[in-house]
Amino acid sequence: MPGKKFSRLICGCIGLVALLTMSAYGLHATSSQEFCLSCHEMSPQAEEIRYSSHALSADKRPITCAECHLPAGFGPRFMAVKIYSGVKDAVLHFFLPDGGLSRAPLQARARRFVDDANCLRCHADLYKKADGKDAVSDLGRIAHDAYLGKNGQARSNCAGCHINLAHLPLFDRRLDVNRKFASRLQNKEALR
Amino acid sequence: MAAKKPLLIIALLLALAGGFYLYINIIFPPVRCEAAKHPEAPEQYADCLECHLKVTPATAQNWRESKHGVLLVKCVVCHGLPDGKGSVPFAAKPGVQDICVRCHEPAMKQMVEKYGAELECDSCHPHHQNPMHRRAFEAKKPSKTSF
Repeated sequence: MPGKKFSRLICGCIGLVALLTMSAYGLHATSSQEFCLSCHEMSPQAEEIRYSSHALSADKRPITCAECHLPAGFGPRFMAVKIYSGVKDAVLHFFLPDGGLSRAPLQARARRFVDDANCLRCHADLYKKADGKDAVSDLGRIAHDAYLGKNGQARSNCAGCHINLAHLPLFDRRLDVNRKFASRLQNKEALR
Repeated sequence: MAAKKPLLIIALLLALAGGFYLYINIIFPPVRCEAAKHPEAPEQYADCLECHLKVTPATAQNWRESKHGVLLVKCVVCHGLPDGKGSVPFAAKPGVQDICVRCHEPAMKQMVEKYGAELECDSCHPHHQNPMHRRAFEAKKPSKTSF
């Protein structure tokens, strides 16, 4: 029965192509800014980033969620984080409407999956500030020496030290390092 | 052979899930610089500051300028030792009711009487940010000393 086998093969090929196209489309669509912010849970984060230092990139383009929170490309790193965080988000949204939304543990999980390569794409020179002109502070230089293994051995990723760059929950607004960001958010709340 | 097929599929799925779990833990480890991965050099246990001046310079500097630093209340007093042999358990975030209370019990009682129970000392007195001549809950001015 060569005819039957052949038609099966054709069907399989068409199915495979359809599946791949659809999943590529799905992966792309579910990584978009609109999709991330379509759940009400993300509204504090969406507000906070507008007043953060990471609202706009150097060329004045709004920075999207996926640019920091998902590894670039469609490789295994991307797929691993996409599957993990997708399942986690779906479980939180549909099965744990309030219980899972304590921000402190969520922050730790988010920081774990911010890929260093995403940070380095814009901050290529770790001894210069984001504008590429001014040098970082003395403390920054020492810490980045340790990160690069020149002096000391830091094991943290970028987001492990640089916390509250784009989002600032209420309980971290008291910290002195966040004074500027917190004041911007406070002014905004007063205006409203 | 046919009876073994579902078992085979289950085993395959379990292997896939296990592989996924392993992979994601290798490329994005949940703990990078805390207890689990901490010291590869036991001879450095007693001198936290030697490394932490390099790897967490801001924290080390804040501690040095704080009341705890000036009075030489060293890291181990609150954070314990990485091998767990210190008098307090090794922890990146020491608990209020286990650690702070050991020295600050009278003050903590007073605070509770005055202002009611507050779960975390840290919510008003940020860790490593209690300067000598200002009040802890006021914003700290930029550091004047350096390494």
